[in-house]
Amino acid sequence: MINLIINEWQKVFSRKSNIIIMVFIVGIAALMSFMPLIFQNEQANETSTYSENWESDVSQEIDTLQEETEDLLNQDDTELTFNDSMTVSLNQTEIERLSYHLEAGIEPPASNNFYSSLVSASSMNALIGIFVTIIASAMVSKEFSMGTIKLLLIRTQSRTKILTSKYITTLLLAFFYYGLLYLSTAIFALFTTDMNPTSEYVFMTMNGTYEHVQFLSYFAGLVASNLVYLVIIASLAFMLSTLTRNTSLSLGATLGAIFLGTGVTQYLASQTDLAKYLITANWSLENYLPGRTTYIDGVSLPFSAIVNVVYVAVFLGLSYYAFNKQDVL
Amino acid sequence: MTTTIAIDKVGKTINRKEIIKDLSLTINEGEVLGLLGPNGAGKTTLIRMIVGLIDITEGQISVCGHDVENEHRDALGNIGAIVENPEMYPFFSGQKNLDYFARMHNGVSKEKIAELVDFVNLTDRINDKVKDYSLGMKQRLGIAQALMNDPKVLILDEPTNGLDPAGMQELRRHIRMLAKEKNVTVIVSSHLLSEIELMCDRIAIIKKGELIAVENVRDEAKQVYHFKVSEPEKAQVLLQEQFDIISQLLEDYLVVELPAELSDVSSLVKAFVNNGIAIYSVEPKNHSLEDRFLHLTAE
Ligand SMILES: Nc1ncnc2c1ncn2[C@@H]1O[C@H](COP(=O)(O)OP(=O)(O)OP(=O)(O)O)[C@@H](O)[C@H]1O
Ligand SMILES: [Mg+2]
Repeated sequence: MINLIINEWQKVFSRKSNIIIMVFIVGIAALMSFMPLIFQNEQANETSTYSENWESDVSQEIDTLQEETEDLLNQDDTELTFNDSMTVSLNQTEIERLSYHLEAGIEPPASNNFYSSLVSASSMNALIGIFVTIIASAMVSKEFSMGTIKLLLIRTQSRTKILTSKYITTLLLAFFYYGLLYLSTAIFALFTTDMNPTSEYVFMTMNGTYEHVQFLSYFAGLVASNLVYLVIIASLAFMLSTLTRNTSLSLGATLGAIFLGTGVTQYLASQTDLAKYLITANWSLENYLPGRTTYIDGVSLPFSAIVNVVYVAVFLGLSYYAFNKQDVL
Repeated sequence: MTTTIAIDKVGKTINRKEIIKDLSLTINEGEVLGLLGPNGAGKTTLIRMIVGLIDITEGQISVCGHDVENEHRDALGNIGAIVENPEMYPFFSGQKNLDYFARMHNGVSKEKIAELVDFVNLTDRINDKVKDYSLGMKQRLGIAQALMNDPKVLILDEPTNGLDPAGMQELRRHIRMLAKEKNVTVIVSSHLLSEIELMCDRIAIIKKGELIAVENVRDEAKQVYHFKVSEPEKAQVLLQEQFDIISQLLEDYLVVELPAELSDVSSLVKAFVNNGIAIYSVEPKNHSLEDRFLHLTAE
């Protein structure tokens, strides 16, 4: 089995698309890390880190912000300009955030900090999903279009084993792309961000209040839910590739599900309760992370987990059945 | 003689179309069998069934005593094959392709691969990408790949496709060698009799999915010569007395069938000359099998 996986891995890595994908992933990570440096305003720079005595620093900062806000609000009779009102509301949010830090006794991180850059990298997970789709949707069908499937199947390895090696390779590759995104993000972030002073992660909840959790457990949850999403995407594209033996069809259908999934699910959810049984309604487990919320009713983490497992099992069941059964012409 | 491949009343239906009908054939150890038939006769379909790529609708096939459907792995362990075209991974070099397939078998050493490359005469180009190979080079690589597991049964679907005359002769030599020295059972398919006639022991003729004849090449390809001589009647008598050959007089030439114990015509020529019979021409006529093939496969 190891040999079969080595073979599959070699094939993927001799494909140009794989090289382009890897360059793209590292490029995206670099872009996301260096962007804040380019657009950062000086103010943020000044307040990037705090001294030993951070509590008084933060109190002072709150006072400064408050004064600025009051000055703006007390301007003589003129209407607030757009810029001014923006500043007022930004200051308001900032004051709330800093006050929360003071209350909870957690030193605030720099505005461009390591944790937040790791968390925001996960917004690129859908992109990784697209890359995984590109590889997974060619996994089986390409052997058919190249005619090499015959050479794989006339050896003593069973069809089940061949398909398993392909599926494992697809998953390994999804994890590899994801790992590459995070590894490069982390390396770039070491240079472009300030390390967080505490292990706490403070975030705003949906109703505008602040909460905090241990960063590591929050991050673990984020990674786990991203990986679940990638496994589902990979299994879907893999199944379509096996069933249709058509690379473009599998690619198109899976990308369609990725791009339109949320919108269509939301629309269907407004029409019928049954929409919550769709895979697209359940594959984003990060909606269950603290501070986030699901966009349709009637779902919960255990519910989504079960739905996801059932779907992946069905995808794989159909793939194995078809691959074992069908004539290879 | 042991039977290596037994095809028993096999039928194949795809989309309600009967592509192979009630086909039975046994092939012995060390025998080279040619599958001959026009395009679409069902040669490739039969091969696909033997190697388990497609289901057998009716009947059964066994290879080295193993049913290809129920004992798939045991049967396939004895087979090396090229089906339809010698497709390899175009983005790999020839060497990398062979390494790739070697990893699918147990214990194929580096030396074994080098030996195979040498055997099919690809050593010079083995590190080039397969997408830059000519068809003939792909055929050679395909044969190397098929021999990787030291198969007892070698199945080559249209192996002469794309080979130049030298390559064709080489293939013939290789196949005869494998059959005679290593006792490998070989199936080669073709739609041209002339290309496989010289490498086969028997030829099975397939037409529209049916086996219509199995011809023994050595018998059928008896060596026949047309002699034009000065005194045909005298020559006839001489042949009968000296060589026990019954010849026929057709128009102005003698049709002479060479008996098996004579390897060539030189002794006949010598006898004619010694008896004062002048020879104007000697023409080898070896087309009896081809005539039969054309006749059998004609509409
Ligand atoms: N996928 C398929 N679906 C339906 N019919 C098929 C399929 N593949 C082949 N056939 C039919 O099966 C018959 C036999 O085809 P096969 O490929 O076995 O012929 P062949 O003898 O190998 O011909 P050739 O000399 O051209 O290679 C043909 O009539 C063909 O139309
Ligand atoms: Mg064919």
